[in-house]
Amino acid sequence: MSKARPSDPQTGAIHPPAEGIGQMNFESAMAALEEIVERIEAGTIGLEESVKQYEAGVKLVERCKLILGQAEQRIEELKIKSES
Amino acid sequence: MGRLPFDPQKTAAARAERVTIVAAPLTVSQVAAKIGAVITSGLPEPLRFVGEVSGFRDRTHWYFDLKDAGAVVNCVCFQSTARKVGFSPLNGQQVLVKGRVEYYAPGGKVSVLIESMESVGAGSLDIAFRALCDELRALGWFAQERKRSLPSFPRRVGVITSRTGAALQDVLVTMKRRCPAVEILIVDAKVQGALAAPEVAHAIRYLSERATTLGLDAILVTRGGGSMEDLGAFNNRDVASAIIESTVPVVAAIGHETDTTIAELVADERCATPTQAAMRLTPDREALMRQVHSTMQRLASLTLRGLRRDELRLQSILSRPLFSGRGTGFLRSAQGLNSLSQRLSACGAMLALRRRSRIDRLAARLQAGRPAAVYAHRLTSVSVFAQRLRAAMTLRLASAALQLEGHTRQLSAVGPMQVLDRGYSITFSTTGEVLRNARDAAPGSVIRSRLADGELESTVGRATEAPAIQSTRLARGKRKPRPQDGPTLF
Repeated sequence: MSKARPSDPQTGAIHPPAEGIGQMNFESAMAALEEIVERIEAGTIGLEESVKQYEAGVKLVERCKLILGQAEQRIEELKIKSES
Repeated sequence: MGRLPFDPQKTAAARAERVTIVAAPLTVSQVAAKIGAVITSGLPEPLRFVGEVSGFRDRTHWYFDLKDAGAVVNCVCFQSTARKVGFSPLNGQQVLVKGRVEYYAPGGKVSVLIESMESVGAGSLDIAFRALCDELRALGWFAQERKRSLPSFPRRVGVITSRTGAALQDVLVTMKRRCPAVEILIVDAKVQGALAAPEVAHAIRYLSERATTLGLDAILVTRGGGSMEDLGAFNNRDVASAIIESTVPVVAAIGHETDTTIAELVADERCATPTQAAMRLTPDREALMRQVHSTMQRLASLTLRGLRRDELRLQSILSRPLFSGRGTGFLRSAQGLNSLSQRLSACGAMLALRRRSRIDRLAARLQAGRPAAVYAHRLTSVSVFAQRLRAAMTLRLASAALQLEGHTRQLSAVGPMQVLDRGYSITFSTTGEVLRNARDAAPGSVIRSRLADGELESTVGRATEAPAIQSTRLARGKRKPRPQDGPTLF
């Protein structure tokens, strides 16, 4: 289970932008969201950047809601040929 | 043929020839009664013996076999006695019993009617279980430090169990109720019997090796309750090793709450029942939804706070003298042009107001949690805006200054100095008032006249009314009323 932090260790920039969010699992999306909140909270980014971050945050929230809101349970069955 | 194995003279047939009255054949019941009588008379006292419980069935009364390496004895323990035993015998358990041997005619079976039972030591299965426990504990397989934490939100969970078992249904129902977003991959495996252990071990290894490609974040191994023999597959060394080698965390829920199996002891997480395991593996959707909402609100209020901070900065810029309604000293001194300054500042205030209401609108949308992307893009930084506003105001002030210069020129054009240039003069009384009527200057009084260049002081000789001049003045006044308005210019 990879707990991928979506931020770049060098630049500290939030990854991935819009296109990556759609593929994120709940944990990654939530981690990215927390990171955005922490950044804005730290107050080190300007207004324009904070609005951009906010927008990304909203997208992450939508992603989380989409995952949680899923009503259909996906069940598959795997046939394994036993060696014994 | 040689010698016959019996004496033909002593056969029943030979005897029958001698006996004339032959008894009627016995009934099966009579035979059973005779067997019963023989057993009862031959074994009159209750027997005390030790054996391993096997095939235990609890049907109000207990039915089971007691066995050792060479023999099996059928036993029955009636409910009244069973209540006094104080424990429920397990298959494989070694027990000491006391009981009377009886022939049960309707079943054609010799049974021991148990009168008392007590446990003596452990059964062989139990002994094997304890031995394996000791071995694996020594290897550190039960160590808490070795256990991995479960993912808080697994994408997919592999469930190894019997396809037809009730355990699977419990798992599916619970996981659907808790969070349908977690996908399930079912692997059917025997969970009882000789094939169970190899099948379960193989399934665990199969899923573990392909966890990444299958997108599995955890494995659940489960089955419902059963006897210790039924659960044998989960007390198996190979299954235990498959579990600890797994690349993803393994949850085990085997049998009832009271059962403990090796599989559960080595698993990363042990759950009492399949339902509990399913709950442990699926996040609570409602709780997560609340978490997402609260994070969203934190984000919105933080962003809003940032916006308010910048708004305050803008307000402080606008309250500087340049933009304030009071205007500069230059503008204040220019009578009649005050309105221009007011207009200018009103314009600035309106601009600010417009920008502010835009920020408010944006902030409201942000708080609503669905800001249009276009808004965010169009939002100019407030500080950048303030700079632009300052530039615009400076430009307007410059043009106002030009206008003011023009007005000043116009003012001096209509001022009295130009009139004096044209040969007129202004005469003041002794008290310094402008003389408009000859009667106001008494003969002998000193008057002062101001010319274009210099002043004259004269003494009044005679004052006369001059109707001709007055009519001229009136006529001039009609044509050009300015001389009358002249003094108001000062």
